[in-house]
Amino acid sequence: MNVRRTALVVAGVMVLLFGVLIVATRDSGDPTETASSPLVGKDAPALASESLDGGTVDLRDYRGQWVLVNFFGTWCVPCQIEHPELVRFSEQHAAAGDASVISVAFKDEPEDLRAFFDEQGGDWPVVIGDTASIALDYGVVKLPESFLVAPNGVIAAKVAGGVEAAQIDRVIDEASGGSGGG
Amino acid sequence: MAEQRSAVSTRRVAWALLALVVVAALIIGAFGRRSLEGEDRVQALSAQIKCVTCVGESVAGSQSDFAVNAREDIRTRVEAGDSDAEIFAYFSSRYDDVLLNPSASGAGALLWVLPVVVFGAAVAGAVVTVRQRGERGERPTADDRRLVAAAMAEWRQTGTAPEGSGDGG
Repeated sequence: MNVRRTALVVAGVMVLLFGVLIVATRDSGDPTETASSPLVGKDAPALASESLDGGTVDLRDYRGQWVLVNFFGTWCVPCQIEHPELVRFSEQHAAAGDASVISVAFKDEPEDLRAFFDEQGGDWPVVIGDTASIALDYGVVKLPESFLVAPNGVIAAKVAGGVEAAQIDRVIDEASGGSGGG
Repeated sequence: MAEQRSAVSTRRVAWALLALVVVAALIIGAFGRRSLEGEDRVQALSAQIKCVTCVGESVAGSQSDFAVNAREDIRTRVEAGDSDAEIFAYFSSRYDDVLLNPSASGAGALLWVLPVVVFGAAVAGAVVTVRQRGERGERPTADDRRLVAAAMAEWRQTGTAPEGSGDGG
C-alpha cells in the first residue's frame, strides 16, 4: 500500500513538473504584425559605417526622428517587392523630416546598388561597409528585415519580410500615442 | 550478531563509496572541462549556437551565410579575449532561442532541474521500498536465528543436514 502511494506521489510530481514545463515554454500564439526580437525595447546597436556615396552613415546622427533600418539585397526578390513601400514611406515623411530610411545592403556590389536605386527610386543612405557584422548585431535572420528605431534611439519594432508604409506609420502612431506619424 | 553488524556496516560503506563516485563523476562532468584555446574554442562555442537559418544544425556544422558570419564573429570575439558567457550573451541578446544548451534560468532551468528531481524521487522511492520491506518482517527474527543456529549445530555434530533443508528448500 505504501509502495503504491509512493509511486503515485512520484508520478504526480512528474506530471506536475511536465505540466509546468509545457505551460512555461508554450508559444503565446499571439498574431502580431511585427516580429519578435530580443532587441525590441532596447537601444539600437551602433550603426556607423561606409555608405554607397563614399561617405559614412551614423545612426546617432538621426536622433530625434524615427529611422527605419532596412536590411536588403538587390538580388533578393522580396526586397525588390518591398522597395516601392520604402520609397512611399520615405517620401511621405520627407517634408516633415520626422522619419528616415537607412538601408544596409547585404552581399551586394556598389554598381548593382546604384543601378537598383536609379531604377527603383529612393535616395536614402545605403550602408555597404561591415554589413555582415551589422546584420549580426541586429539579429537579422532572413532578408528583408527592418527595424524601426524611435527618436530616442530605442528599437520600437522589428518587421520580418517586406514592410508596408502604412504598417510602419501605424507602429509610429501607436508608439507616439496616436499623435500621427506622417 | 557482531558478524551481522559488520555486514551491514560493510554494505553501508559500499553504498557511501558508490554515492561518492556518482557525485564526483557529476562534478567532473559539469565543471571539469579542460579549457580550450584558439580554433578549438571557436568550434566548441559554435557547436553550442543554433544556425537560425538552418534546420537542426549548429553554427559549427553549417556553411550558410549566417553560420559563416557567426563563426567569424565568434573568432573575432575569442581573439579579443571575450569569455564564453560574454559570447553567448551577445548571441542571445540578438536572437531568440539561439543557444542549443538551454539557459539555467527561467523556464530553461526546468530542463536542468527535472532530471535531477526525477533521479532523486527514484532514489527516495527505492529507499522507502527497501525500508518498508524490512519493516514488514522480511529480515530474520531472533527465532529464525535460533533455528538456524540449532540446525548448524546439528549439522556439525551429525554431518547431515536437518530435515527440510537442502537445495531449493
